[in-house]
Parts: sequence; structure tokens; C-alpha cells
Amino acid sequence: MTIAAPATQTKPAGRSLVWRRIRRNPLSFGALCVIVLIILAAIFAPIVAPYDPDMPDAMAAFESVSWKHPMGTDMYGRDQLSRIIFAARVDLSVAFAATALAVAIGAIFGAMVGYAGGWIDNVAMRLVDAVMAFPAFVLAMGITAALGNSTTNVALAISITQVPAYLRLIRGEMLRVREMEYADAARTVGNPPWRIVFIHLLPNCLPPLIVQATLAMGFALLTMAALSFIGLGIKPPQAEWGVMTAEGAAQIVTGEWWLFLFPGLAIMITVLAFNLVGDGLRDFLDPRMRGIR
Amino acid sequence: MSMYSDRRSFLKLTASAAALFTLSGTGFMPSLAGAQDKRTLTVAWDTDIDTLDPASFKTVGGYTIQANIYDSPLMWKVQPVSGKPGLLQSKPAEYEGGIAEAWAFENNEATVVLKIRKGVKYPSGSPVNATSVKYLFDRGLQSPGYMRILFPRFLRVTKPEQFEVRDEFTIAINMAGPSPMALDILSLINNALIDPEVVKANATAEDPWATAWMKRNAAGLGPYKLVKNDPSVEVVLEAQEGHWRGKPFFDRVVFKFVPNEADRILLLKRNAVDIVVGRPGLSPRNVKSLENEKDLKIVSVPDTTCHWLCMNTQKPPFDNVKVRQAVNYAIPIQAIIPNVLFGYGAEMKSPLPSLTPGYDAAVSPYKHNIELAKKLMAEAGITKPVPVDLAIRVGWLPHEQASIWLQTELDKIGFKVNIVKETDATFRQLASKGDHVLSIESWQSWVNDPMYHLFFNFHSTAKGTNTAFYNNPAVDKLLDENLLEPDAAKRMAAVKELQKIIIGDAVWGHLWYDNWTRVMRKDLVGIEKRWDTFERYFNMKLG
Amino acid sequence: MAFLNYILRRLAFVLPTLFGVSLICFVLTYMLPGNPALVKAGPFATSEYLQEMEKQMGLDRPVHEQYFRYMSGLLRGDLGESASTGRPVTQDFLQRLPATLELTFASLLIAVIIGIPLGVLSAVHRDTIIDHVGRVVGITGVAMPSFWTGLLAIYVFFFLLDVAPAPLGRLGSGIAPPETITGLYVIDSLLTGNWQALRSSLYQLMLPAATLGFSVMAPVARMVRSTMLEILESDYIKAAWAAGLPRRTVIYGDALRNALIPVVTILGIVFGFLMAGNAVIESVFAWPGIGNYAVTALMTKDSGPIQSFVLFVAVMYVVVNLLVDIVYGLVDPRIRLR
Repeated sequence: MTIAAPATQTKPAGRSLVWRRIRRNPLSFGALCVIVLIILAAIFAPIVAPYDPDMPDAMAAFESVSWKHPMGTDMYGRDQLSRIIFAARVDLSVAFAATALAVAIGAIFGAMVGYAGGWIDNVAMRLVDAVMAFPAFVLAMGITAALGNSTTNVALAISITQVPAYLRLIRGEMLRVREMEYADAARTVGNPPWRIVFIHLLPNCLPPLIVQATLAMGFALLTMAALSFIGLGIKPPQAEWGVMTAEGAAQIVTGEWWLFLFPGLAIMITVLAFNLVGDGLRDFLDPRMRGIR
Repeated sequence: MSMYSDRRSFLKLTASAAALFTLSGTGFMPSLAGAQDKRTLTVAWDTDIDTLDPASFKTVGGYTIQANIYDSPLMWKVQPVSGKPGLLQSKPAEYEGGIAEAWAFENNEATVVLKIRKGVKYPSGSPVNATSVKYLFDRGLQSPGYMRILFPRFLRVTKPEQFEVRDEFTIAINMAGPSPMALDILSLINNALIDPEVVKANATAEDPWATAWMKRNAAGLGPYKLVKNDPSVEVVLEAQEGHWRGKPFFDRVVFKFVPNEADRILLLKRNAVDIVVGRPGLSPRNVKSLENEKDLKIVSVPDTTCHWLCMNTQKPPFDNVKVRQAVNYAIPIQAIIPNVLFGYGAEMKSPLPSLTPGYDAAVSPYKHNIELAKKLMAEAGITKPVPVDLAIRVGWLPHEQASIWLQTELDKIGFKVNIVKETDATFRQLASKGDHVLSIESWQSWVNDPMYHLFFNFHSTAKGTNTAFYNNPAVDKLLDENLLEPDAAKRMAAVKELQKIIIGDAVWGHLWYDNWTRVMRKDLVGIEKRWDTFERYFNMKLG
Repeated sequence: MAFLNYILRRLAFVLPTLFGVSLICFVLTYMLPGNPALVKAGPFATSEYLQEMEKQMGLDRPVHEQYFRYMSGLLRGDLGESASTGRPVTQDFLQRLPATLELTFASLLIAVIIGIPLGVLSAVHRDTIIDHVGRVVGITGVAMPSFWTGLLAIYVFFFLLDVAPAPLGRLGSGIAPPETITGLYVIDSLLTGNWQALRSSLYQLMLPAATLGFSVMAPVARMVRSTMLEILESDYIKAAWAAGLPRRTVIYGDALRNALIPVVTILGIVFGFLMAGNAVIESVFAWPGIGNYAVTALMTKDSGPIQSFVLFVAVMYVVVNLLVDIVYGLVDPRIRLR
């Protein structure tokens, strides 16, 4: 999505280097194309999808793969391909909203805490430690069990589990760059603290943040699926990959393999794509990796 | 040097560990097929025993186990069903002796006299007699639990003195008047034949009925005994030595806890389990998929479980009878029966189950008619879409499927339905507080009596079970006057009248009656289905 | 002494974390929608009985009092009672813990056994087809919903091919568990020489552990790959190349040994992934662990155990990370000085 941003941010060296790196990592580039395709399909879902995703048709239940229904139909006779396409909207927006919220909270508080230091930093970090003491999915499970499983709550739960990672990351970077020369320079020119934080320092923290956020998109999708499996996911009849996979998983034993296979594949391919892009970005941006050919 | 040895040990570790796991994939694996003991029945279910106290269990697992480890005073009589080989089923108002071998009414049917079977002993060695049977009734009446509610209302017993020991093997129940439901109440497994000596030995001053101890321990007499209870793993029953009914075919019944329905199906298909029980056990869709399995048999008969669209009659828009009627005309039952129940259920046409005496299918005018429904909505003054939450429970697959069909139709007549999935605990909490406006509810009456069923579901004082919060003085009056009416004809006339009023008020959105369905190995016979729906293993055998 | 000092300092960090964990868990429990008193009292309960129940359970007290009640219960190891099994949650947990640990350790072993060679191969053959395939294999494991993989595995290996056992827990039917020493059947049967139980427990463990292990091997492989890359570029390895030492000796001897140390740090994180995966995988394989227990309780009766599970796992996770830190301090003396 925002692949262009880090490239301009870091500007390691002209176009040729960027191109060389992309060529060296064709997998990540391919994955990026896949993500773009999925996003386009989601945006133009009403045009791309052949049927209304939510309209039951008693006469067409459990139809196998055919030209008419390339991914078959479910027990309500709804076209699965259309549902998978429309589901991309929900999945990507929940994953994106959760990640964006986590990034925003994490970045803002991380920067503030890192800049302030002292006891504020101490208290904040203890709180972060406490949240990080929970394996992310387990905490998401606890939160959705407590709040109920509306789409908003699922997004919120995923977001909460993610905040500490960003907070910590930004705070660490903040501590590092705070001591650097140009921060001093900004201070001496008389910029107020918040300006130093947001205008001068935050952009320098962006690369690792983007890597983390890309990987988190995949995690969010998997969390939604697993929550659906234990009954805490996004509620029906909303077309959503996690719910579809969880429901389809049960169908493998009754022979409707298409209900098992396709939603699972949709998740797998999307998560795989995000992770490969994240992985590629990490190689690309991680300063530790830079010297290595 | 050291480098070299390090490398070797690392490779060795990798190799041996890899070998370990490849080994398990080849000849190394133990062969399990055919190792099964013919006298062991393996059951798959997904429930636990919440308590072993016969007065207060709430889980399917709790009930099923108690129904097999305890005798009750009477039993619902089971008889072969034509066209259903291997199945035995109860009929209304037919009983057989349990630990009471005979019963009789006296005093204008206000007194039930039970003759206790002679020569029966508890596993502890102490004899079963009228005094020990009185103890179980006394405990039911006075300890917290179901019987404390059921005895006063349906057996008309409020004081322990009403359970009167006449001689060593005769006990009389002196009711305040006749009750048409007396024998049904005495057939409930909650009247479990516990051993008074053992229970008393575990009682304390604060806990005179040993409720804490009874939660975890079984003490008494029944066809089977509980030898292992490992929650969420397995429960094992073994046949009781020298039980008065004789020796069952299966020496052991092993209940394997299998939480995943897909797993339960695979286990059945591979003959790794003999039968799947419990509720939901298997959803209709999955039962359907097993119809052509050559090693399996499906036993399915109509039952008394009702599922309905529950409207809160105290809250808008469902406080308006026209809206409730419109909902009844909008229910796409013709799509739900084949697509949700796959034939393992039947359309609900009355608030009464179809197997209950007094059931009348002709009263209800409702059938799917969107135009009429729209007209009723207009008459109710509803012009713009009404947003409404439809609450369902996690893990109840047919409810979830039905909710999708309902949503489509209800949206057509002027609702904007939002399906809300709640865990069981949340669902019941919100339901009891009246916070559900629209939900899918279900009910199964242990006692197959129309008044019992209608009382719990429609009487304004039946808090917690009258899920529609229905309050109609005319219905209350009819129920109060006829609940215990001894004149059968008069009572049935009231039942008919009640159905008319309740259907006219469109209290429930009628959905379906579940079939009682079990999938099992082909040669399993002696399947018993009684009014409480929980199977007994005593008569089960391989044909 | 420096090392003891280091351990004490780590412990001082852990205590506030545990306090925070308990606070979060209390909030989650407090916000649970189901009324625990209602679950306990049952559907036929009168409202007076319900109120009495609420009073008994302290639900009518103000929040801070409830928190103290909750904390004092926790410190006494009291997590309340399960409505579906009717037993103390703590007792149920302790009984199931060995099953969860056995599955977790087995999966960890598989993740490490596959992940390390995968990472090494990727690093050594950086940017070649081997590296790409290795990455895709690793990331695919992470990218598949584990219940989906698990059900697919059951379908293929148990139902179609019949090479895996029925997903019915830790031992085949009719096989008695070994004498309890650690509670882990594989270890116990090894110690007591109970070969039948050993075979059966390994056989039952195979599929769930492989599923779970496959889903977490990517972080291990990735960590090994990147540290390996760093080390291969380091001066002393370059010196080794220059000295003309054989390629294999350098890679598998020196480089790998040094690359394995940072891998210890990631084991804590992998353990967290595994604990999370347990909740789902145990339910797919009817594995009698704490994850299965909590999920089943949530689906059937009460949501209480799920919050206890969250707490339990968090505490375990903190302890495991503490141990990892200590081990790391042990193998890498530099860390102690920080």
C-alpha cells in the first residue's frame, strides 16, 4: 500500500539500487502485486463480484464448482466467489483499522513517552510490559469474550494487542534519535517540544514501524479467523474470511471441499503476501542488513 | 577440534529427532482397528458433568450420566416403534415400575401409593426400603434444586410429612389434591435412588443434605456405576454387579469428549466410536451427509423440543400483536425445513409440541405470506424500517442458519435485522433480564404434559422461563384453574382454548420441532428414547 | 555475584508486570457480560435466591473491594468454579496442564528441528531459489489458520490415508497412562520403561504437534537466517574463510554455534505463539489441555474459565521469558553487564 513512502524516506541511493533490491527479491515484489490486486477487487467488489453476496437462494444450496459458480455455493445457496470478494472489504478494513489505530496510539504515546523520559516513561513501560505479557491471540480472546464480538470489538481487541509493539518501537527509536545532532539543532532553533517530536523525529522512526505494521496486517487476519473458530469472531451473515473458513472447515467431512478450501486459501494467500512484503521491507530497510550483499 | 565435535553432535540431534517422528509414521504405529472390545460401547459427546447432585444438574452430560447410574421410583414405559427397528420409545401417560414395582391411587387420586421392590440392596449393602425412598423425596423437597420447585406445584407436596412410610416396603404420597402429572414427576431421574446412609455420612451442620459432597460423588443404585469422571477427557460407566434388572449387554460405556463436530463425524465414519449423543451432537446437515454410510444407522423420530422466534411482548415493536402476527406470516418455514433441518424436524404449528396430548395443528392460520405480513405491518403503523437485534447462541448451528433465512424475510416486511451471536452465558443473562427483543429460543419439557409446558412458557409468574414476557390474565386464569384439573376432558378443553388465545396473540414466531436423532453403528439396537430425551444404556446391545 | 545480581534485577522487573497482568485480567473478568451468579443458580432460580447468590459471591460489592477479593483469591490459587465441570478451575487447570505442556514442547521441538536447518540453508544460499523456497515454506506455515491446517491434517492422515490415529486425546483407546512422574506421557513412559504407552502417546502427539510446530517455525527460521547472515559477514568468519578452513566446517561449526545463541531469545516468543495456538489446536484434536478446556467452557456454559486461561497463560509466558533471559545471560555473559 504505502510501499512508496519508505523508499522516499530512506533514499538509500538512486533508482538503480531500488531496482536491484526489488529484482533480488522477486517474491516480495510479486506479493506486493497480489496485495494490490486484492485491494482493487475489494474496492470494486460490486463490479467484480458476479452475484449479491448475501442473497440466499434455496434452490442453489451446496452447488459445487462450475462455470456459473467458480467457487461453488454455500448452504444458503450464496455464491462463494462473490462472498470471498466482498469479504475482502471487511477483512482488509478491519485489519487495516486495527493496525492503523494501534500504530497511531503506539506512535503518539511512544514518541511522547520516549521524549519525556523519567517516571512517565517508567510507568508507561511497565504497563506495556503487562500487556505484552499476554500472547497476542490469547489477549484478543479475553477481550472479545468480555466485550462481545461485534466487528468494532474484534478490531479493538486486535488493536490493543498490537499497541505495545509500536509504542516500544517508537520509544526506542525516540531515545536513540533524541540524542542525535539534528534534534539538538532543532531545539536550539527554538522549536517547541511537540514540534520536534512529530515533525523532526517521528519520520525517522517510520521504516521499522512500516515493517511491523505490514506484518501485523497478516496477524490481524489470522486472529479474526481463529476467533471465529472458537465462536468469538465477526458475526453472521457478514461475509468475512475467518467466519467462512471456520464454517467451511466443518464441511470438509461432508464433502463440500470448496467451502473448506477457498476461504482458507484466501486467508493464506493474503497473509502470505503481507508477510512476504513485510519480510522484504525489513531486508530493504533494516540498517543492520544494509551492508550485506 | 571442538568445532568438529560440535557440528557432529548437532547433526546427531537433528537426525535422531527427525527419525523419531518419521518412525511414528511407518510400522511403528500401534494398530487400533479391531482391538475394540465387543462389550464396550464407545460414545462421542461434547458435554461435561456439571454436578452429580441429582437435584440440580444443568448439563446434558450431567443428566445422561444420572439417568444411567440411578434408578428412579417409576420409569416412562418404552415400546418398540413400527418402522424403526432397534428403537424403543415412550408413549404419553404410560409408565412402568422402577424401584417402585407397583403404584396405586387412593383417596380420590389424591394419594399415590408406591410398593417398593423387595430384596434390593445398595452397593454399600444396606437395603432399599420405603424409608430410603422417603429420604430421596425429602431431600428433593428440601435441598436446593429442581424438585424444590416441581414438588409443591405439580405433586402438591409442600411438607416432608406428606411422604408417609406405611410399612417397610410401602410409601404413600399424600398430595393436597389429585394431580394429573404425579406419575410423570415420579418418573423424573431427579428422584434418584441415593443411599441415605452414605449421604448422611457426608452431611454437615450447615449442609444437611450434603449438597457439596453430592456434587462430586455418586452414591446409590442404578444399572451402571460411574468409575471415571475426567472432565473434557472421558467418562466411564461400568455395569452394576447384581442389579435387580439384570446384566446389561455392555459392561462398559466410555464417553469420549470430542468438542469438534467435524471430528465426531470422521470418528463415526471410521468406526472409531459407536454412537454420537448429546445436544447438538450432530447438526441436521451433517446427519444428512451420513445417510449413505454403509456401516452407520440413523435413528430419527419426532420429539418434543420446540424452537421458536422469541419476541419480547413487553417491548416495541413486538408489544403490538399485529407486528407479532406479521412476523409469523413472514417466517420462511418452507425454506427452513429442507435447508436447515434437512428433513430432521417438522414445522411448528402450535405452542405445544406435536407429541403432547391436546396438540391441535388446525388452530394456527400462519403460513408464509409476505403480502399479508406487509399489510399487518402497515396496520400496526410501521412505515419506516425498524432496526432490531436478533440474538442467537454460539454453537447452535441450526439457529444460526435459520437466522439468515429469517433476516432476509423480515427485512422484506419492514425490519432491519442485525444478527447478534452470544455465548450461552451471555444469552441467558440478557434473556432473563428481558434485554432480548428478538431471539431464537428453544424448550423441551421433561414432563410431556400440555399444562406443564404452557405454564412454564406462558404464565406471567413463570419468571426465567416465560421468555416472551407474555402477560395475559386470561391465559394465567385458564392455567391456574386447569393445571391440576382431574377431569381430563375439561382439562383438554382448556388446552385447546389456551392454544387459540396464544396463537391469536402470536406470542411466539413458530419455527420447528426437532427430531430426536442419533447416528450409530449399524448393528446397535435397544435404543431407548424417553420423554426427557436422554438415552439409557441398559437395553442397548449389538444385534 | 554479577550473575545473581542480574537474576535479581530481572525478578524486580517481573513483579510489576505480574501486577499489571492481574489488573488487566480483573478488568476483563469484571466486564464479562454473563452474570456468574445466574449461571450458578440456574434457570429456575427465584430472584431472592439469585440475590443471595450474588451476595455470597460478592458481586454486590464496590469495584475495588471486588478487586481485593479477586486478588486474595488469586494469591490463594483460587480461580473460582467452573459451571460446566462443577470443579475448581485451578484443579481442572493443573490436571490439564501436563497435556498442554507436552504438546507445546513437542511443537517447539519440531519448530526448532525444521526451523534451524531452514534458516541456515536460507542464509548460506541467500537470494537463491533455495532461500526463496525456504522463506515461502516458513511463511506459509504462519499464514495458514491453524485450525484449518489441523482439520486438513486429520482428514488426510486419519480419514483418507489412515496413518494417523483418531483425534481422541493423548493415548489410544484401552491404553493406560504411565505412572505419573512429570505428567508428560512421553517422558513418564520413557522413565518407567512403558513402551506401549510411549508408542501410543508419540503416535497421538504426532499430528497436533506437527500442525502446531509447522505454524511457528517461521520465526525460528527467520531469526537463524538473519543472525547467520550477520555472522557470516563478520570479521572472524571472514578470517576463517581466508585461513582456508573448509566451507562446511565454518558454516556448521563456528557460524551456526554463534547463531544459535540469539535463537534462545526467540524461543520465549515462540512459546507465546504456541500457547495461543493451543487454544485452537487442542479443540481440533480433542487434546485434553487447558486451551481446549477454556474454549469448551466458553462455548457451552460459562466464560469464566476463558479469563482464567488468559491469566494462566500470561503468567506462564512471563515465567518462561524470565527463564529465557536467565539462560541467555548464562550463555552470553555480555548481557549481564547491561
